Amino acid sequence: MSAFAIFIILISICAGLLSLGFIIYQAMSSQRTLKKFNESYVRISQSTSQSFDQEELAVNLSDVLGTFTLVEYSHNPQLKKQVDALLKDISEKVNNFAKPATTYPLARFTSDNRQPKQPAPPFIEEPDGAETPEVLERLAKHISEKKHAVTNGFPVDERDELESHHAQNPVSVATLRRLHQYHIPIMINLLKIARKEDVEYRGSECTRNLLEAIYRKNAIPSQTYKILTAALKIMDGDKSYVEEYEGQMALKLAAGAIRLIGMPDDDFRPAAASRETQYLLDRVQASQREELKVFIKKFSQRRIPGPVDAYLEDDDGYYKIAQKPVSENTLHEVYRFYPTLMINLLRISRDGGIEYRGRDSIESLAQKLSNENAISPLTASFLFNSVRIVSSAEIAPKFVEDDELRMAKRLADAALDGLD
Amino acid sequence: MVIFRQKKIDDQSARLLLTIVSSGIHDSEKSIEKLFDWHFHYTLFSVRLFVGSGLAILASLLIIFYKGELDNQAFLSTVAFIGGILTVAAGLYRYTLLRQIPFEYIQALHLLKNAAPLIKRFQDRER
Repeated sequence: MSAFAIFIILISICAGLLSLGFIIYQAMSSQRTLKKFNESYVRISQSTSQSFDQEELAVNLSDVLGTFTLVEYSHNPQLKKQVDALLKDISEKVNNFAKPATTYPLARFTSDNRQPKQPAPPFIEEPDGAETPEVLERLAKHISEKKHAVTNGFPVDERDELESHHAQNPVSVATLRRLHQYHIPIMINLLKIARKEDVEYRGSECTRNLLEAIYRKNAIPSQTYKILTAALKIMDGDKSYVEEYEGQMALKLAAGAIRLIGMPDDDFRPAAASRETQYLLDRVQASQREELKVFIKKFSQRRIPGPVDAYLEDDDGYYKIAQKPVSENTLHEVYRFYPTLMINLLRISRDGGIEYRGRDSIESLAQKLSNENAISPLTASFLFNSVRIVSSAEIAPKFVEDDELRMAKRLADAALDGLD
Repeated sequence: MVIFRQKKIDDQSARLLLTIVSSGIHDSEKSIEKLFDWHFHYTLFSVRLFVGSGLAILASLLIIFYKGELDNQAFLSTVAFIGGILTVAAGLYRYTLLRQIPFEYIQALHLLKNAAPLIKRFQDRER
């Protein structure tokens, strides 16, 4: 036998063995893939059932998808079924964990280049087990007796710092985040009480001040007042002085206070017009809007003294004294719009996931919402100008015409229409 | 996306889909089409290699056989012939797989449709 013959025989045997190995490998691959896939599947199922760590889930998902090839996926019906079920399961879990970002409900225009913010959860998670008012009162007593450094956005007072002690187990960010979700429903409920009981809200009071004003008018029971005060003490407190258990107590207190207030979700404004009348109304409103826009333009050129000039009353004729200065009654009429305005703004903030921590005035909240595209520029302009006229009327009533203040009322009304 | 780039990507692994989506490639379907185009050419090349090699081996064995060099080597010649036939068979087997590429492509698009929103959600959260 020649060397060439030996060479060919060896080559053919090697090629044959190689091909056989290849065919067997291909035939067995579906079994092997299924085994690998099942191992990863178990791991990912366990990780998603125990906790929802998105990074871990993403890595596990990557592992699972790395266990099979696209060819195997298309030719192995069992594998395909399992993969599809797994993806469906994970996407359901992800969707349940956080609802997809929605556009703001009352936005009058949308901006394509703006990513909508992650909205806040539509409801506030109730702490386990609703406590009775008596239990809540005891919790409130415990908190109100303890010294806390209340910041209200300002640095902690030196004396407070000496008397307060840093928390041993400070409140967690998660608890604080849950706690801050209660600011909006608490404020909405307080504003509803203010509106119902004619407690004046001037658009800049923080939650605590509004609560005090409402309590002074005996519009809420003292038990609810105590519970809410204690909750606000923690909510407004410096987090480094608040213990985690106190944060948990404040959650119960806030939820309990809202339950105790229990204001119905009513609106004093009339229901929306029928479709037939809507067209006519729109035409009327459009002409009114034009009128208001002209007024805003005119008012922006008016010279009205600021707080210092108004205090000194040293104007040398630079500012024009009003022929018919503002009356207290007109001012109070404008204020009557403010609780509803604030309630609407707070609702938009809640739906759009925009933060409110009980300290924003109507103006600053409207500014935030306007920046986030949640309200239209025209509505924001009506609102800002209404607030501006009112503040001018408060600072220098002598220089603002009563008619101008009446226009502030109309501007507030138009802003409410824009928010509805 | 860092998470999805941690591991080495195998040939035609389904993880490839993750990489395509997470890399932010604009037209994922077009990319997958291209991948399958490459996959087709790669498989076709292997089919040609196997069938060509197998036929060449068989032809060489026939030449040797007719030269009478395998007269006393019945076992060896049988094994060598089987080797040649197996090589051709492996090529033909690859060819049957090649014919299923359109179906695989459709299934890949199906998997992409299911997995892409999930991957994008992870990406959005990671930002």
